[in-house]
Amino acid sequence: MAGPTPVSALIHAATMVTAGIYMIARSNILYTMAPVTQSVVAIVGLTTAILAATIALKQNDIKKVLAYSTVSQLGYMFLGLGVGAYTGAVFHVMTHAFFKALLFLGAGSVIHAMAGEQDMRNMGGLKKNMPVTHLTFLLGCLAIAGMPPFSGFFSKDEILAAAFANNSLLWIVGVIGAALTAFYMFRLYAMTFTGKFRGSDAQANHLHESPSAITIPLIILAILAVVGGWVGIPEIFVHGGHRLGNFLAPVFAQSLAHTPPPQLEHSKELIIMGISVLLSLIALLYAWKKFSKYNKGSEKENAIGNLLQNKWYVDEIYDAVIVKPLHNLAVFFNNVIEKNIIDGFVNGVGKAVNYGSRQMRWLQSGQVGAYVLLMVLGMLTLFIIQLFL
Amino acid sequence: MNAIIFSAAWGIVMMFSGVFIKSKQAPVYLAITGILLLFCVNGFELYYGHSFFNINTHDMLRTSSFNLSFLAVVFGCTLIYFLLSGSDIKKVGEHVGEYFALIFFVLCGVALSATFNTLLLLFLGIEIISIPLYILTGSSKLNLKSNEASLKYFLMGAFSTGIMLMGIAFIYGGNTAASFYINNITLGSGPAPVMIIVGMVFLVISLSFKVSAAPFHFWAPDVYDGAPTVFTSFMSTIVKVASFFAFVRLFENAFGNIQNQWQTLIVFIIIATLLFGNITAIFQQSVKRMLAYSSIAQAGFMLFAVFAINDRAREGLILYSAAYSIASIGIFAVLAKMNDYTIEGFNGMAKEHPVLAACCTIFLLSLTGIPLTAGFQSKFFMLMAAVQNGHSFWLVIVAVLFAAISAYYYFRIIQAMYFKDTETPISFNDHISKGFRFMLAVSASLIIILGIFPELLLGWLYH
Amino acid sequence: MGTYITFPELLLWLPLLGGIACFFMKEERSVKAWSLVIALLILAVSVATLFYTDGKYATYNNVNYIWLKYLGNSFYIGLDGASRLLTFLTAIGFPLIFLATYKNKYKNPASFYGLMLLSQAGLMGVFISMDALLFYFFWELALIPVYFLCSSWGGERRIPATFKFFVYTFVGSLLMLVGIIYVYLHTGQRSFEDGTISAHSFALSSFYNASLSAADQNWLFWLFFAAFAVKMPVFPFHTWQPDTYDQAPTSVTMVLSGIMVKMGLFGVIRWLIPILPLATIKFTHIVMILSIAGMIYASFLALVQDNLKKLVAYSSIAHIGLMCAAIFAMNELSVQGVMLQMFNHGINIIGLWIVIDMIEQQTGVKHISKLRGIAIKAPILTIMLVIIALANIALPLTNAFVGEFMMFAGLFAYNTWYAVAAIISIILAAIYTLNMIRKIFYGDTNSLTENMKDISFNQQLVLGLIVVLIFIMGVYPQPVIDLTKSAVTNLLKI
Repeated sequence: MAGPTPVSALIHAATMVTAGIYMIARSNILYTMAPVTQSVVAIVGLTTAILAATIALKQNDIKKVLAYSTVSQLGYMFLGLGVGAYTGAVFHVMTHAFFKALLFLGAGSVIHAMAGEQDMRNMGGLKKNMPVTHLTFLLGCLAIAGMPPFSGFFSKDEILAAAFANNSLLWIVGVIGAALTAFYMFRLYAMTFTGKFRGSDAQANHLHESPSAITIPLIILAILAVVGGWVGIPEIFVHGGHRLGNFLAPVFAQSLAHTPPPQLEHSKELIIMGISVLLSLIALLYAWKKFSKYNKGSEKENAIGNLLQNKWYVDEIYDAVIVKPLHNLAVFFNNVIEKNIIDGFVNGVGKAVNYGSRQMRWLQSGQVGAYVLLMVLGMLTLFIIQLFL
Repeated sequence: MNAIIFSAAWGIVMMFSGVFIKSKQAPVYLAITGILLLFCVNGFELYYGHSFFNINTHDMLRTSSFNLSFLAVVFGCTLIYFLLSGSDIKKVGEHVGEYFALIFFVLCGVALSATFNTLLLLFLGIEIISIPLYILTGSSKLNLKSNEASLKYFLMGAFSTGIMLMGIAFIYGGNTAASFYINNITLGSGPAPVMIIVGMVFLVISLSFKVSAAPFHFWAPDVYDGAPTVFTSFMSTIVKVASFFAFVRLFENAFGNIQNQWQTLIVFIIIATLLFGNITAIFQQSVKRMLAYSSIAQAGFMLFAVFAINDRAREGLILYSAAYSIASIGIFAVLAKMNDYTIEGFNGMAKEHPVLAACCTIFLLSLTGIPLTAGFQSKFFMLMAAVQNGHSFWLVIVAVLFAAISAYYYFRIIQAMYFKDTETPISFNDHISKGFRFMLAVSASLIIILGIFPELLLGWLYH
Repeated sequence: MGTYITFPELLLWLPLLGGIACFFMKEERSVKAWSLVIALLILAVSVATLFYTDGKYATYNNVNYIWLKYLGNSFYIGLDGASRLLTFLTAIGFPLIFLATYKNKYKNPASFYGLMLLSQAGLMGVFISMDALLFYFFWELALIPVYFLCSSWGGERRIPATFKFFVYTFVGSLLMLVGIIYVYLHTGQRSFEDGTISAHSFALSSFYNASLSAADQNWLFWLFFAAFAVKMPVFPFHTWQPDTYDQAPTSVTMVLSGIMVKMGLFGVIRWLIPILPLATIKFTHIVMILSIAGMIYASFLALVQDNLKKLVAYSSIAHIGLMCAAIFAMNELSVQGVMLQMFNHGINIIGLWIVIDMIEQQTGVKHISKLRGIAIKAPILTIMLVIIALANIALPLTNAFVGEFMMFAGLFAYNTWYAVAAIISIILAAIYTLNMIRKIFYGDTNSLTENMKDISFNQQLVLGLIVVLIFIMGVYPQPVIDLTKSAVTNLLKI
């Protein structure tokens, strides 16, 4: 996230964050054979999805929102892996790559126009100045929010359907997460592109649409974000529409043979699909409406808001539970064990020898009488050793 | 036999040289000639196996390749001593010839105590060694410390002489053969009569005194410190190893077959000696005194020869005598030329006198027992002897730990010479001549050569 | 070749005579050039040895002179897989060190370079000697030049620090000497070509066949281990190391950490395990626990070091701990990994020291808290260091990854929990290494670093070579594995 925007786009969309998903998908048979581990994966995924989504609700840095949304989407992919929807997870990796790259590059375009400003509270109403960025960004938002027929809809739906088939609780939480996604993405959209411009005058004068070197990639990615999901249309709409599923089938063949995925009735599938789309749509519209009228300082402080703004204090908890104790342990090792005990012992031997030397010197008094006495004592000792031991 | 007669004769020659020759330098050359001849006549006996003199000693003296090669080492070391320190002996006082005469008498005593075969000749030998030393210790007439040391040495030496005589008397009384011959003292390896054991303990005590083994070493630091440095050099090396040789020969021949009955005693003495010598040496600020203690510590290692008594021990003793004597004589020779005896006095020597510093370093490394030096080989042989002996193996480990401690004080001098700087140049009481540096370098190379090829020395043993 | 002079002799005499010659030179430039030429010659010989490994070249690789024959000793030096690898490391280490520090000024350069070459001779001797007494000789002799080097040219507290180092290792090696004597007295007789027969033998093969009871082995093990543990060093015998590395002149520190610590590992491989197999099996757990506890402990200490040199010292202790544990795991994977890693660790740590030396030469400080923003001033240096540091934490594609992976796999096969505990130190390594990079290279420059210049051509050359080696060994370690395969299988046969 902190990297240059194109690097963030690359990392978040394609390379690093998805490596873990790929690894689990690739070694799917191991996880299929270990159901407990798989459940752990699902729960970790879901928790990540929800936690990151809630954090994204309160962030004001445009790239931070996107970064947390990546974490949240990763959670979905893990959920998919955890419930056995390997195809769905890989599918989501792909669609996510399209729209997340689009969103990051769009954000980059915005930041460029704002002369390096990243705080959304200082933006607003950019759609007039940046029509191409605005339109493509909107398409990206719709895709990530899971609005049909954009790409995110198909992949997210596949994961949620599998979650439902596995355990309806997973699905309920998952749908809430999806709604949150729609909310924070349109909060981002509304704060950035709608309403009045809230930045400084200098920034206002600087506003401009980005050059084609930036907009052309945005347009290409926007097209992909729209149509990218069409390689995986579920059975209920188009028979044999899941081309990606067929393409990947050999990879997951063993896992699927071991535990065949539970089949949902078509009616049920339609209903759950409807519910999640509807909820997301409501969240989307609410956010759009609310944040179009955003003014600086209009948000009220509250405890939950603070908690979310500070990312559930995860960093602080890590710091307190892991980093600090480890550091203290290291300091303890360094100051007490290393310097006092081990080195203290080593140097202590030297000191003891020195001390002994100083004490033994007193035997050498220089008095012949004392020497003879000591010699006689020595003789006695020798006789005792020889005759009695 | 050659050595005894020749050394006594040359002693007399040296004594009268003072009457006929007034030059102070001439006796030095005379003495060097004498020691060279002594070395040669002894070498002749070693090489050809018979003496010039055909005297019936009634087996009271016995020569063998072992004691003759030991004598060769002693005379060789004395030669080095004369070459290195001859000019310093000259400076001790007026009667240069007499000092050399006394030294030759000591050598006569050494030859006697190396070849003795009866307790009486042992006593004679030891006394002939001791009495000239009392005089040499006090030879710096105007120096109070020297006089004090001489008196102390004499008093305590008399004490130990008495003990030795008492021991001999006990053994004579307890001995069924009523004989002074050492081979007849203990027959068989059963428990020896108490009289003999008591006599033996008295002998251990008096010989421990002579080799300055703890707890009978108290005279040594004071005497070594008080005596003129050149004579300290002689006393703490050549004389000491001679006493050791007598010690080993006595115990090998007289008590060898009851070894298990006295080994504990020797173990005690070894540990006490290593402990006193090494630990006390650490604190010393004067290099001369430090060397005195170090000579006690080295005695602890040499006692392994008495402890073990086997082939390795005999070889080790010969090697040790050479390695220890050459190294100590070398350092004392440098020390004798210096005005400041403290360790700080050596500061910065490497820069001003690189040859001196390098040689001293080799001597000190040898005393510590670092490989490639004769000191290592000698310690190595001693340790091998002790391990081979099989008794009290832990003693060997204790000994090597003390050897590590000895590095502490030897390396202090190396550190001073190489790593510390000094503002004032080192002051010498004498010109450091080219010849001196050359001799020092020769001695250092000897240490290295013996460290690589100890057979050169040991080959004589099996001639 | 073979008839007149053999490889091991060249490896030994070249540095020895070259070093002695140094003492008689006057000019700084000629001394430096001379020692570099000698070091390069040795490297050339060492490279040649890698091509004559076949059994039919035995006469090129082994030579046996008479020395202390009546004790059953000889001057037998020879090359096998393990010694070839380590002599090669020694041979490649010295020219790198000489080149990297070519511009450094030393007072009395003749002695400095002379002693450096003498220490190289000692190291070579340790790796090629096939007689126990000879081995002990070189073991001590490698130490003496280093003692003088550190005490003369080191930092402020050099004398006490070096002396501590000396006494530590001296005690260890004396205990080993006692062990050697004991084993020697339990060997069979040795007969020489000329008919001489000695009662016992110092030959390596006789030591392998010494008749030692299990009870004897039990305490002999600790006598030998004392020497090797101090040299490596294994916790808790390590306290000499950080001080010495800190106080020694950097080029000596490179010798110490890059090459000399391998003496300990080599000793375990050649002189401890094969001679005392029963005791090795018995005490494996103790040694492993010591090594692994030491790894974690040292890594923790590295976390809080402000002094760059001490940080690298502790990191090296952790790495060596892993190698020690892996040797005792005694399976093919782990021991092979150790062989590989002995070489890799040597290269990497020399690289690290070179960078630290450059920083210290230019800024005069070695404390992390005082350095900032070097990346701006010296980008090439930074890139090089980052690559070397990543190799230090064993990232894939770097040489250390291969070695450490093999060692961990071997350790895992021996005992899962040991492997898991050991892996903690890898995580800690990543923390302290990356933290160090972040602190000293990034951010703005400060008064100490603002005038820094990037590295010179020599240094680029050396670091470039090291980086190339890192990648080559990381991608294609097979040659080293082939080279040491027979040594590994021989060891495991026991």
